[in-house]
Amino acid sequence: MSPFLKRNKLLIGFSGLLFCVVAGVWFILAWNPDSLTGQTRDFRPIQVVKAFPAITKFPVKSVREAGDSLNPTELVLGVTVGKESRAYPINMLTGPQREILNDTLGGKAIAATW
Amino acid sequence: MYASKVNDQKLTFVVSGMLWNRSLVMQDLETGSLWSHILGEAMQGKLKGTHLEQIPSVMTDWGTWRKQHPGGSVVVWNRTSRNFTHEIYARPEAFVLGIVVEGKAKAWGFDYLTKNPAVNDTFQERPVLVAFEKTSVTARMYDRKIKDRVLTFRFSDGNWTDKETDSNWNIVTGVATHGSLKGAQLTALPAIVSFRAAWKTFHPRSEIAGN
Repeated sequence: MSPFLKRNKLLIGFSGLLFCVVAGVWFILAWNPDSLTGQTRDFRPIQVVKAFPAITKFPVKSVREAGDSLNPTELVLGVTVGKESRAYPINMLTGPQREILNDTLGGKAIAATW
Repeated sequence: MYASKVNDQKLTFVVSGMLWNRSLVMQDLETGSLWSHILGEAMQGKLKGTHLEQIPSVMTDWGTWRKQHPGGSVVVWNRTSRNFTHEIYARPEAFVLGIVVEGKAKAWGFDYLTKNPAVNDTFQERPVLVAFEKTSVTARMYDRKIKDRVLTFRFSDGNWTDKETDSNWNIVTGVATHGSLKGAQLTALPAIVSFRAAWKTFHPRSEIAGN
């Protein structure tokens, strides 16, 4: 092998390595431009299932009526707006079809979601 | 828990069927904008950049809530899950109480709160109280300033008191029940309970107390 070819091979090998590094960094930045700053603001949602219809009507009881139909240890998200308060049991707010309830409480339009 | 009115327009939210960072993406029917569920911010569409008003809510158990709000109401529907009971707190370090004020986030780990039920902290120049009830695993957050006076809270023998006036406080309502501040009410702040991993994903620069 001539010394010229040997040097050329080294050059090709080095260029190849450089290319891989540059391509790698480019790929990471293209995939998530904020990865270097630790930000995850890049909005890239993935459609997993079809959209669900809006929930605007659902059964509500008074706390006294509901009583023991719920387990004392189950978790609820409780909200008070003005003089009205309402509990949303988490076990009835998952799904994914149930994750948002459009409601009105104390005269205020709210989206109950966890 | 969000107010669904934006710029005098009432929005109806649906589950878009999309996920972003493994978290729910909401869509409003009125403008079609896509909203991050955890950030409460429109990420795409006509309302991009708009934030929803977060409404203070409390994550607690039914036994505790029904005693505290006997005159209230409750959604009783068929269950879509059975997992959300006290048992999910078997690993308290997996949960945080977090708040975002003007784009800055801070959270307190449930493991930290278990050891420190009364945290007198300052966040974004606002003196705050993070109050934790161990028995019901309930974390609440209040502004601890009353009439220009900053209070320091403590919890002992089942009672919440402030060091400055030794008044007694009902931590559920935030109202002073005895002492010179009797009748005064602390302002509840819209902190949320979140999985620690999700909080870190959406608020990578958030300080987290504990671990």
